[in-house]
Amino acid sequence: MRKRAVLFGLVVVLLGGTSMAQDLTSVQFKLKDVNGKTRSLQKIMKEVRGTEDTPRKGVVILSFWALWCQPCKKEMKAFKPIFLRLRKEGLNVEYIAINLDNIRSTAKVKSYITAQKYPYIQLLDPNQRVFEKLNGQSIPYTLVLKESGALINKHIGFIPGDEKHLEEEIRNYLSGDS
Amino acid sequence: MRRCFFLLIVLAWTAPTFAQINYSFNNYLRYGKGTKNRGGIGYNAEYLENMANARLFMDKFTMGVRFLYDAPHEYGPSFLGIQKRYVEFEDAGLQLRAGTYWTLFGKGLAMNLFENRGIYFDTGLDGLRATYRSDMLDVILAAGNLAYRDMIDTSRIENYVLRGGTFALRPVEEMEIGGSFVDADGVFPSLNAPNIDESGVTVKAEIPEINLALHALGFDLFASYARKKATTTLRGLSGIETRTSYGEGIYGSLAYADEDGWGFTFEYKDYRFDVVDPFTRVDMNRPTRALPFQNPPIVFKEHAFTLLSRDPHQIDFSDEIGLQIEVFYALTSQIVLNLNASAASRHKSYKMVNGNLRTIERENRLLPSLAKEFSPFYEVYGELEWYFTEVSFLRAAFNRRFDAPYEELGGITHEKSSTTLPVKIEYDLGEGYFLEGEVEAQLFHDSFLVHTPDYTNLFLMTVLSHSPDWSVALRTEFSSIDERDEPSGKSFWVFGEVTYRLTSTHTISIGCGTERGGVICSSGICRQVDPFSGVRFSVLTQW
Repeated sequence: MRKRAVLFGLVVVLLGGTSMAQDLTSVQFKLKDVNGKTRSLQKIMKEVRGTEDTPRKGVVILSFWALWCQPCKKEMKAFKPIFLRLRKEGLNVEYIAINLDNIRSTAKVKSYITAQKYPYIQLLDPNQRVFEKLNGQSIPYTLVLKESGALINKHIGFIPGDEKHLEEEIRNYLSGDS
Repeated sequence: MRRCFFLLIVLAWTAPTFAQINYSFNNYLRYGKGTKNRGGIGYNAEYLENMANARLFMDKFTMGVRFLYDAPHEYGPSFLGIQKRYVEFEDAGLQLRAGTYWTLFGKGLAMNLFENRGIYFDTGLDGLRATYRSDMLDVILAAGNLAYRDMIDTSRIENYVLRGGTFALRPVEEMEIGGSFVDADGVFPSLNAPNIDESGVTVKAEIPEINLALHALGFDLFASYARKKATTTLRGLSGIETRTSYGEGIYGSLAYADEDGWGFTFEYKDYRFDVVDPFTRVDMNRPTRALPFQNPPIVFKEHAFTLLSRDPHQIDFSDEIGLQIEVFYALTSQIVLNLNASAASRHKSYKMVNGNLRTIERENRLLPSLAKEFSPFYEVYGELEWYFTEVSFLRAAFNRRFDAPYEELGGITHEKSSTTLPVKIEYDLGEGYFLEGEVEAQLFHDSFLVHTPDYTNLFLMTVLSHSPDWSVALRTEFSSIDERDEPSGKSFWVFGEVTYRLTSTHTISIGCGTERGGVICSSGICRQVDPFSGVRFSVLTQW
């Protein structure tokens, strides 16, 4: 009885908080990419938003994944043609895929993503420190950011077809509808 | 403790009113009720786990806390209260943390601390950590206490005080030189009272490690070497006895990827942190073994297909030599091939000759042996993935696995071998509907089974989903195994699950049915999962 009461209470609290999404993007980080080069989120965001004289509207997608996570790989694969299409249309979109594999698999990450020919920035976070900073709990975990770093939306999990909703969010923001 | 939890809730609701403060909150609730089976004996099983993580960000400071309500956890004892907490300061490449943390030195030969809630494994430290990262140099200094809970007997806890540091220097972009040192003082529980700190056994371990990484012309080379000195002190009836043992470990990898869409990775391991005779090896908790905070790469494939991920090879970080090669090749932009082969064995074997234990060495000292005396393991895997539309795909694979631990004292081999053919198809039905089907067929041989050492398994899964709202999955498994050989006593299992997304960051899942269980491993850490029959419920939430 006690457990059911706690369970019910927790569910009510959790559902009741659905309107409280917060912006986490004051967090800055540096991670190595698959070639061993250190990349900074701050620099990438700067490239996306352009200069003070020529500011641009843009979207940056941060997506956490791992080789053992099938939905993560499906999401990256499903979004690839959309990403290429958006870029071809001249839209300012960047996709940063952040790999969370522990040291057991990081040696294989590069050969996997090269074979898949992903056009994304690929970073490594084997300690999951950035994942933790950005409130990651489970993967796939995707954050959609404005060029200012402010949050548009975030997604946990992947159901096939979600990539189309992601595309809609991006287009809505870039066209000024949100 | 309850007041702290509700204070967090209040803070979360009111935090937006404080300027310069950001916060984040996530919660994961799991509940299950049903029956499990162990050794042919059924028992009632009910678990309730709620993990709430909250973080406050104030300028350069971060405070984090995890409130845990495990009453009980699915594996292990109950816990109610603040499980993790920390304060962190970060500025100009410097990060200082006080509280709970996990960390990695190099590739984990000396130290790799991590948490995996799914198998109830946690080697988090409670202490202090200082990290400095720049373009040329990374340094981590760490110190703290580790209370390691045994995977089999969860009432047994080994307590360690760890101190260590690691550095990585990049004089040029193509090279990285690194090293680590770990000093650990461990206290082992006594046999009579596993949860009492005082015992007759302590261990002092010193583990220096060096590593080198080179990147050039598409190649990535990594090599590391660690040496372990373990001094154990035993306080017994006859007095104090001190022994010193030495061990070492090597890990190396060579990876290559090019623009044409192919890449390979070769990995090699030679872990001899505690190569001992079979009489000593029986004690799996001996203080000279590779210690719980050492967790280097396993060097074999971890699978996603259900039948392949059940009952995998169980690595022995104290005594194993092996290698793995993996190749990814994009035949076309829609077809990708993945090939993998791995092998491993013990370093030595032993034989009783005229009452004396004789050591048998491998023919080739650099490679694992496939002779039965060395507990051989090998696996080959091939997979083809074909995207016939932008989002619909077919994935077909083949796997052959052989694993035969050898017990020298009885001259007995426990041979487990399997041939598995899994096929998965995912198809876009249009209007946001997707259908996924998976079939896995397996021929399995287990020499320890009395009635059916050879049997077949068949796993079927169907998932219908509609983005972004819901998915419905049905998993069924058949086996020709004799029910007397099967821990659950069944030969058919079926589990149905419905997942619904309230929002993009709130997901509810409900499932009901029977699950077969087996050995599940992650990063070389394995747990026996008992067969389950009942209901599971979970809610994943994030703000």
